[in-house]
Amino acid sequence: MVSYINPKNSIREIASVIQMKELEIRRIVYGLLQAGLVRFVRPEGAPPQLPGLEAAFPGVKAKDEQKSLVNRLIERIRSV
Amino acid sequence: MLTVKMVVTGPFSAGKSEFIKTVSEIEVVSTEQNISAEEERIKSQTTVAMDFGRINVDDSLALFLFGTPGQKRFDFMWEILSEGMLGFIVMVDSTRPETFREASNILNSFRNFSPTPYIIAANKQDLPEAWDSDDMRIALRLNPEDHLIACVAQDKETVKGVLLELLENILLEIDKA
Repeated sequence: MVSYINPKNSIREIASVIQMKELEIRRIVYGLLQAGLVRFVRPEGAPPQLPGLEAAFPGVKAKDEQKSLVNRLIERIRSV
Repeated sequence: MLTVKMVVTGPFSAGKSEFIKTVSEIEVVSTEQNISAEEERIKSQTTVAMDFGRINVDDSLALFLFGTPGQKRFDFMWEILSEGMLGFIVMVDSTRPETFREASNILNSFRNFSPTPYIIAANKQDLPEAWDSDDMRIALRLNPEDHLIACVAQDKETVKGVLLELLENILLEIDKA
């Protein structure tokens, strides 16, 4: 099973190939993660992580619009 | 609906779950499990994946609050939870100086994950053995520009104060960008 764990295979695909339940695969991968034998990588073709605040406001590029969103959050939290 | 995300992190038993429970509008989705390690039995349960709370602004905007696990062996969750965060809060138990070094390491890890604004919340400041904020700044080796604010995680007003201070920092950061 370990040979199937790489960025190309999803948990579902591994479970299907070796005929185990997804939960069992997740448990094994979790154990390997804890042991430091595998690590998370971004899937091939996934969009790169945007830096800083750009990633926090997906699709909102204008500064004024970003500030307006933050000001709305501030007003809401004041009233909690 | 646009959702923005803040991450609450910090060492084991710093008060992260409590912080989110105090301010969340929904019942916090938590992944608490009984503690197995004898040396960490200062409380009965701990977060093993994340806590999730939410504050709705209106129909078009909501703030998600994610709490990270505090135990080192669950640190693989940190980077996952930090993706796309608007900012982060490092909770530190002001009464447990033995956790300050770990808090400092966690702060450095999160700074590396994403260059977003952050704030350090000195929790449990209502307890007599709590360290003074200035002493904590030194012990945590904070930069002069780092913001450290006193907090009591069960007290809604101080929790709001931490969130508001972080949001003010975010406004400044947007202006600088």
